Amino acid sequence: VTPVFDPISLEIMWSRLINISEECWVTIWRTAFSTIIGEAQDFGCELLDARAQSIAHSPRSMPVFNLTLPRAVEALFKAFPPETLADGDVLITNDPWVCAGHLFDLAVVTPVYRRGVLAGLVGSIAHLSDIGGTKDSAHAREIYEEGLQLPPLKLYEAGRLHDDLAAMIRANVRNPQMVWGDILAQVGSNQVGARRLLEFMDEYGMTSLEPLADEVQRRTEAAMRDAIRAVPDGIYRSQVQIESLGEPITLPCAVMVEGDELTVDWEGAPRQQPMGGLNCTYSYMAAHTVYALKSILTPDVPSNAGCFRPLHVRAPEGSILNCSYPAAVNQRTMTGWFCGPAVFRALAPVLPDRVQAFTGLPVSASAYGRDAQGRFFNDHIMGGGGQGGAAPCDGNPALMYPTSAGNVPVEMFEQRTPLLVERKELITDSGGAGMHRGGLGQRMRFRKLYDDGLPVLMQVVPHGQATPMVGLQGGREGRGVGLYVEGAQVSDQSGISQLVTLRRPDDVITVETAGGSGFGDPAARAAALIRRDLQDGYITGRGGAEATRRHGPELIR
Amino acid sequence: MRYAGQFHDIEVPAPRPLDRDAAGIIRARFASEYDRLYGGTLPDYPIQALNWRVLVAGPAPDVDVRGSLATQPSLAAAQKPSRPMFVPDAGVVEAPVYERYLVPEGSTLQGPAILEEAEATTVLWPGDRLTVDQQRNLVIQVDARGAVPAAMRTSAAAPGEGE
Repeated sequence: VTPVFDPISLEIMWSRLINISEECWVTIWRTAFSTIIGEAQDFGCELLDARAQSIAHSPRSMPVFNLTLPRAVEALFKAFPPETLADGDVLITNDPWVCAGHLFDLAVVTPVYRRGVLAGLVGSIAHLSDIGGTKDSAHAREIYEEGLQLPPLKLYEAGRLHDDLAAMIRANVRNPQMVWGDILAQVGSNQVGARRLLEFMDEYGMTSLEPLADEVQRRTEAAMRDAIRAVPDGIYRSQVQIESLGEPITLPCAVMVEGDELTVDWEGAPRQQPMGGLNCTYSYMAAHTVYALKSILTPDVPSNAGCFRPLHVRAPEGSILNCSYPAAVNQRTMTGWFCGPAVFRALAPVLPDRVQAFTGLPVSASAYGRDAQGRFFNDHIMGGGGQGGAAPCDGNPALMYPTSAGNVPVEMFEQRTPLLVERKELITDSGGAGMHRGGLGQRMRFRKLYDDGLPVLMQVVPHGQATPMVGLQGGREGRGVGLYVEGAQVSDQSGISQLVTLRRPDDVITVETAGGSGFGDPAARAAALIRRDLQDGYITGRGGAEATRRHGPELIR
Repeated sequence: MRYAGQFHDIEVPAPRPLDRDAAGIIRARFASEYDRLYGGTLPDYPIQALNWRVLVAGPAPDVDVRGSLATQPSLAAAQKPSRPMFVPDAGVVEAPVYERYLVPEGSTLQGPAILEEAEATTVLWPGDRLTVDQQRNLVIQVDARGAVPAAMRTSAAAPGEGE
């Protein structure tokens, strides 16, 4: 018998599930020890049914983590078939090929039992502050150099911690107290989710989540199929050129729409790279690809497994978008973050109102070392670029797209590291011109605070150097990224990421994120918007903003 | 209280009297509250107490805040340049903006309007009616049915623009 859900009860129950996942999210956020999780919010939480099909997730979760967690659960089930699991088990893996594409991202999954029957799963993926391995990712040739590999394993068995595994993890990471605390935050979050899920099922007298899961997944799938059907059948193509090991490479994107199914094919993607960790695993690349499609096609529908059933993604085996083990993968964002923009560009001619122009990519900066008291620190601060313009509006400044990471407060970063953040400011005239301009990029400037000679190892990962991204529908490119080092010793000259040692107060790093690209012809920009930008200081009369020049001096005054 | 190194803390009631035994009681209460909220504890991690909250009662003074603000002759002096405001169902309207501390006692305002001050922004939706009382409190009669006067609607701009 298939239960029938009336729309109001369904909406309430569906929202309850999302809220349970949100409570899981808040638990990790409030109990984490690292800035990357506790402040930058680089994690995601998900509820899955007993078939490893996702049902709901916190709206604040990292999109790519939600999209890769179901695949990780499938791999965990393969290693530990569900019928062999028990109440109190907690499973983990950071395998980049099934999880989120590099070893930092750890999946922690707890099966939830109700009266001895597997009811569902609560899980999260979080970016740990460290996973061992080289700090010099730009020179890693294989994954063995990138840190501790955790294949599907049981961290807890029937409620008992595997001390050997815990000791092994702690011995292989920098700042074990911080890393282990973050893993326990993930474990606790699952525990909170499990309690709430069982309360929820008791309240509604549910013996199984499946009928409800079926219903929300069915509706979500139907919404996605409707949205795809509204797109004319055809093959929509684009190319994005990016820099890889100092060479330009091209990611060719073909979006094929056929009835109510959609396939993205990355045929022609370059071979995987021998060094630098620029390679995407299939799991990671597919997540970025479908994330863009989800945003375009059903932005208002809460996502779950149903959403992705009509979407298919292909990339050649052994390519930079579907690399083979044991490729180095640590800096896969340098490639994978361009998948979404390529999809947007491919669909721009047919869905101009649904896409956004290229968004300046976030820059992650981390500081590692020991302070004068001998305490280790290992903290991240991230800075977003300018959002791309779109049909209805300008892009926002300093947005962390395509992640949902938060801006780490300067005060928090300064309190935890011996660094001074001298500047964190929007860059005037950095948004690409357009009918709707791109958002502004930002400038961050870091200086060693004390003249004690103690080294602070900073790793700065700027994305999209020397690869200007033209806008959509006639919009122009935004200002590019910048990285300037004064005084300090640079240990990596590969141009991919920079490893810089700051020792004295005159050692300074300046990072600039890119502005967003514009949308539409700059000549079509409303005069009122230009006046407002001038008033707000987002553009200058003399500066590079093309729209200003085009509109003549009377608007500039 | 929190485990050292975390970013957030939780409130734990302290026992009375706050004597030698209190530390153990506080520690136990922290663990129990932490487990209730977050699904487990970290026994090997040091605990920090960042704030101690004490409730103290005394005779209430008779406060008159009327004299603390410079008196202003007119509502017009409080007016700042208008700005676009997004109103659901009505779109973007051009709303008058006032400096809250310059709005004189006894003034009345009709929404949509915005009152700015250093600490907060008060938004009057269409149909809301504001009166400033003798203590310079903003007393708002909320009326969600209010319509936006046609003259205030702008068509050039859309939500989210320019930010």
